[in-house]
Amino acid sequence: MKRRLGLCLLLLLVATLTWGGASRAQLGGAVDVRALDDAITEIDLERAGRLASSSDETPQFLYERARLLVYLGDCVGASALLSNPAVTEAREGAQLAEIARNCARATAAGLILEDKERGIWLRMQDDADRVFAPFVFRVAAQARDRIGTELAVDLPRPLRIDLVRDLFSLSAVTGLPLEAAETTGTLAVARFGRIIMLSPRATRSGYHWEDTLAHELTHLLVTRASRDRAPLWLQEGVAKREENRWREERPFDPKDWAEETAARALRRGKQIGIDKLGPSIAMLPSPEAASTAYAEVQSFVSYFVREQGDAALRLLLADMKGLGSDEPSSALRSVSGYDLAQWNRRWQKYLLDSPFGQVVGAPTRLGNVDARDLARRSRLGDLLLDAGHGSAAALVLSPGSAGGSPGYRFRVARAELARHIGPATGSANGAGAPVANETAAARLGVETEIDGIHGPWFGLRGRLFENSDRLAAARAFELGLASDPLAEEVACEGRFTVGDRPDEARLPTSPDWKALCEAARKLPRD
Amino acid sequence: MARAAARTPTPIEGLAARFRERVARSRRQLAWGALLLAVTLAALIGRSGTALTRLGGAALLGAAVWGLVLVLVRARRTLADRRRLIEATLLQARPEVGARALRALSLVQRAETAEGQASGESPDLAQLHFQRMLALTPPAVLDDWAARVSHRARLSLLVMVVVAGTAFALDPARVFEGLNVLVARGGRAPFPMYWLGSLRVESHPPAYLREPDRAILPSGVVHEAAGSMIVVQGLPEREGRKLVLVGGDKEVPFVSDGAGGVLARWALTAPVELRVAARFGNVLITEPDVLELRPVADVAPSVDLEGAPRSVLLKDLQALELRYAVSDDHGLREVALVLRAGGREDRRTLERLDGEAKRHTGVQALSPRDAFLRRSFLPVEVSIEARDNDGVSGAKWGVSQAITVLPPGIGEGEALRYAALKAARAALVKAYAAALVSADTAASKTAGPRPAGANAKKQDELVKAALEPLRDFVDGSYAGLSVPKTLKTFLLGQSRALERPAPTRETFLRRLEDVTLAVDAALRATGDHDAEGVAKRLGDVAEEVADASKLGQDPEKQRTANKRLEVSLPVLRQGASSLLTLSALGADLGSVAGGEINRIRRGLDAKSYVDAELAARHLAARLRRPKPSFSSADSGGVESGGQSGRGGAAQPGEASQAHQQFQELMRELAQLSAEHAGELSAVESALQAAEQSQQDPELEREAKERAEALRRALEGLPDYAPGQTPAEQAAALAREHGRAMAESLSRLALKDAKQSADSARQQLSGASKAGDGNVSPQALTSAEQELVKQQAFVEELLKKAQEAADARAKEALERSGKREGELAERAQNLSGRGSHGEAALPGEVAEALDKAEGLMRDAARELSNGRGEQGLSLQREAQRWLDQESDDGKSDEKKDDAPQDSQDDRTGNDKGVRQDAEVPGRDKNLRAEDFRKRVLEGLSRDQSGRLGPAVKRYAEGLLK
Repeated sequence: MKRRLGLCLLLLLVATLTWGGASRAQLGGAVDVRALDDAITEIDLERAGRLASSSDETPQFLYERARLLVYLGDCVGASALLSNPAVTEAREGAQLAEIARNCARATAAGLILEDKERGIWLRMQDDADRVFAPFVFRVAAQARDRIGTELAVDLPRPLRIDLVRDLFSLSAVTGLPLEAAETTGTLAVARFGRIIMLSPRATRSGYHWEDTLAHELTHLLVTRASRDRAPLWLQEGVAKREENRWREERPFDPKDWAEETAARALRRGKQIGIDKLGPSIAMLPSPEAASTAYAEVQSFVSYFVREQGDAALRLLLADMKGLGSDEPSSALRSVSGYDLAQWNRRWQKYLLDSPFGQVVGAPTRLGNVDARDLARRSRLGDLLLDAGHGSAAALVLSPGSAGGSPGYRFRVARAELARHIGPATGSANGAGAPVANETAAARLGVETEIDGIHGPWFGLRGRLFENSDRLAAARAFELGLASDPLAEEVACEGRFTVGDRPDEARLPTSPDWKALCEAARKLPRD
Repeated sequence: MARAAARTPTPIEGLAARFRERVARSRRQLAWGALLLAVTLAALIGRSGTALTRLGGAALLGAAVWGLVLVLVRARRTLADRRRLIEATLLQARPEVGARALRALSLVQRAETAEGQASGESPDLAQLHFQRMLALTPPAVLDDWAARVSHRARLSLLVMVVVAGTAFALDPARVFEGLNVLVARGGRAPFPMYWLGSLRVESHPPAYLREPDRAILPSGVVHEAAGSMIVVQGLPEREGRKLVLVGGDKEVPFVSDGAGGVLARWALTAPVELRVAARFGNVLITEPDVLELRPVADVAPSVDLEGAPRSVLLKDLQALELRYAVSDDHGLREVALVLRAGGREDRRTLERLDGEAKRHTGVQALSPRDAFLRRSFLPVEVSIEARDNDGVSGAKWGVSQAITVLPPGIGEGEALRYAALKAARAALVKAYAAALVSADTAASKTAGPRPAGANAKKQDELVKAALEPLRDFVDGSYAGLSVPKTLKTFLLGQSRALERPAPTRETFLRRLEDVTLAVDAALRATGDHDAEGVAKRLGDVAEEVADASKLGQDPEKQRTANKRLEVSLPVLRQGASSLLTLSALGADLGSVAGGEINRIRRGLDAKSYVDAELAARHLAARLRRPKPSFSSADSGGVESGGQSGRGGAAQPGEASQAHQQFQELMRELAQLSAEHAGELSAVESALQAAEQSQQDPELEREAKERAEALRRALEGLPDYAPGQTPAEQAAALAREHGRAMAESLSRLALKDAKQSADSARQQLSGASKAGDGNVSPQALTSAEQELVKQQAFVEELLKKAQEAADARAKEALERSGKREGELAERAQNLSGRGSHGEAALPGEVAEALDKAEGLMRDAARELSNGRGEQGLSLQREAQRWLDQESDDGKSDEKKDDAPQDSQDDRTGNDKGVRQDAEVPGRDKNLRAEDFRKRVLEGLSRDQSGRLGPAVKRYAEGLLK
């Protein structure tokens, strides 16, 4: 019996050895592709690079290698790889090929700067955007570290950021349809392990680029933590929640905006539904719908964290990664005891029971302000100031009732400062300067008198604080920078051009700010 | 003594003498004969010229020579050796004696040795014995034998000589040829031979040269036109040779010329040394004479373009006059004007010639409005090229030096125009600032009172100074661009508004404010509009850069690619700079373009044409979509949360609606005009319908009879022909008009009939006055009487028809009158808004609108009273006033869409016939229908004037 058993074992061994060859290689190859896919998805590009160094030439492996190149930002290389028809026969291959081709056009020969110490890689489509690089490095590193710690995820270095010049390029690099991007006003997208973000110069008055960067960064962290298995509501909810938690609190940070908006939508029957967001919030039909969707997911995630704690969120992400399924309900149930539908009901009940969303319309300080009159005066003031007529600008702007409009208040204050500049010399009238500062400060008002962040307002405020409160001045400049970095009053620390010369010759002392100021002054004004 | 001295030859000497004299000689002769035969045979064999036969011949010859040598050597050796001699002679003649003699010789030889002497043998005895043995054979026997041998040899020799001689005698040249072939080296025999007698060589120039054939010398150096056919002809010296004409590595066989001779044709394409030769297998035997031919190539035409090379600016160009002179050595086939820009080429044939003319001059004017020039954004190289008639090596193009037309930079005109309007706005801003400060000073307590007249004067001066740049702008031209009519109208309206006297200082200030903001709004709108157009055109340049970069990816084409890039990149950069100066949209797009150009440059600096191409393609696509970098329904926020919920600062709204209001007014005016035209058409239709419904068969019959009568009455008048007297011409024209009247009458087209009758009577009157006897007065009288009769009939019918038609159309006309009244109200409303609102209409527009309104009211009244014709007439006049302004606006919009060329294209040509009538597209069915109707109506309405009869006949043809 023993001999027979031994014979069987021997035969089995021989069969195993002879079966080997191609079958084993095939099996091994499949494992490699899956591992490569996971490594890329988790943005572990170093490991992915090692796995991709195989000489395998199966379409799936080539596809993964192309994907890795896209993640590394080498769209030209990926495009070349994806020109192989064997790869593009599959739908995914064809889609990626299209994206890689468009991305290659938008990024080829772009300017790349890298902060090795902080582990940030920044590629700019427009060389002129290099003035943003120091600020982007600082914000990206700080946000990555803070949010990473909060979510207990470490993002491999370098973090890749593409700063594109316009929506057209954003669409090309990300594959997001341009019409959708325009409809919803997309500013940045986290995809392919990179952050693709609009340059602040793309918009007329800048945008909150710091929080946008933090928002997208959170997407990368959630993707890595969950191996990209987090559903859209969780992705966006966490990103919205984290986008301003990486920094100190700022004025006009929306405290209850999410709850207020979500509750209002719910009460009016205009809710989107956290599980009905479609493929992307950027592809919702209108900016209003997108805004509601953001509010809902942020409110939902905040509610979940408030009920279960931060640790539950981390556990949820880890569970999703481990489960290997895109269905979040089982992970939710295992973490909290409730599935998604139950959590949804609980959250909606909480909103309906709360006072949120019961007030019709947000209060505004505009009150009886004549918007048309303000628009006329603003434009006339701008024209007069551009032509060097500071006094006339002040005369036009002064009678206007600004209400809470920071833009108008800023214009009036600026005109008051410019009133004391001799039109011929452009130099400040020394005798009138203190008076002008006082008048300007009075016309500018304080943070509580305005309705929102307006970069130039904060730039001018920083200037007026320079001699009395340096910390407040620096904070004002930072707020301006976060909102509208290329506004001259922000970039040049409150200095502005009257006629064809600056009202003060002084440039910012910091080289980064000085470069920003010079770039701002090069922009055409009209 | 002498006899005693003469020694008797020994027997051995006798043998030797016989052998030498008889045997050896005959054998030697035989060997020579064999050699002769061998030479002949070898030559004949080797003549085949193949390697094998040449080898065989040589072998045969070698064998013969060897045989000869052998014979000579053997004879010498035989004579030198007694034993050989005995063997060759005695042993042959008397074998037994010979054998004994050989043995005796052996004894002698042994006795002479030391061994023989030692054994006691006597050499003398042995010698004696030997001599006796030799003497045993009588000389006669030996002589007889020698004679036989000699005879046989001579016989053989004779045979050989006969054979060789026969072979030689049959064709001696063959032997020489064979020998020549045998010694050939490298396929060529060393000794030339003549093959052709009476050699003639002729050159046949290519047919396209149309030159006669000519004889040339058969040897020496000759220059002939390339492509000439060289014919070598002669009589063969010897038959049966394969003759060829050899030149270089090529040979052409001679063929029979049908007259006992042979000829060969040689196409002269390259320099060659021609020889006549005969081919023997692999070997050629050439003639000694060489004909060295040098082809004279057909050179490309020479083209001289006056003033080239030079550069001209397109914007300064009225017309580019191209005076050219073309010449060719043989003939010209075509002259073309060639325009090249970047990778594009446009070739236009100016002249097609018969190929015989060797010189041609011409002048061609190139208009600056030429489509290629207009569309080109790169420097255009204008050259004249001429093609010759070379039918041999293919036609060649001669190219003149180029005149380079430098188009204005893309956006250059728009940028200049924008800057000029900006300067005009700056003047207004300056005036506004001055007025503001002045008002503030006046309002302050410190300022004293100021007389009202002084204020008005100061305001006038201020307005004058403020409006001067605006007026200059309106009339200005900017790198070939004028100010669009709509903008011009708007700005003039604004200046009119500002010029109105202001009752108070506040009113003046407010008005100045309004105008400043209105001009500012117009500036921004114009800038944005121009920026879109410039960006789209710049997209084409970016595409050119991309194409050039793509070309550069082929290493062999990098030079061409770099040339194209050197031209297109500066154009792109300059266009981006121009764009940067145009409004907010232009600044945005220009900044985008600048960034992308940097990427292209970086790619090229790194020698990466791929990167450069990719960046350029992206830029091209971006510029063709000239939207702001960030255009959204909202201010952004998705994927960031951005402004949502944080009270982002709102942007100030539009400061002035003036420009939009003005655009709206102009749109309404155009709409009013279109609707009024529709109403006019409805009235015409109603009247026409009423007229048509009156016809009855009886009347039609009568009308036809009357028309026939009229035609008969006109038969006496002459037909129109050139060279007639004035009276004849007038009578002939009267006949034409009369016929037209008859035709109209038969169709019951009464108005036309009346009109034709008037014209015919006028002509008849003219003919009567100019009476010169060439026209029969009776015919004139008869025709006039009939015309008067039928005209009266027509007028009566017309009157009745008019009354009936008015009655029938009354209801429809009343409705039209009501609608016409409503349209007049709208016109009044428009005029009022254009006079008092922010967007003032300029004086002439307002005036035209007022006039139109008055006429429309009159028309409404007439129509309401059932007077259709009068109403229609007033409507038409009103429509002319309306069209005057609305058409301007319409054409202006089109002009903006087709930058740079439209204003010129719409001015018509020098014959005063407009060629730019708008023809509705197929998709505009209603408009097309309307257009067709208008054409037919127009043709049927007015046939007076120079082209009257022709138009009428055309219309009749159309109806048929």
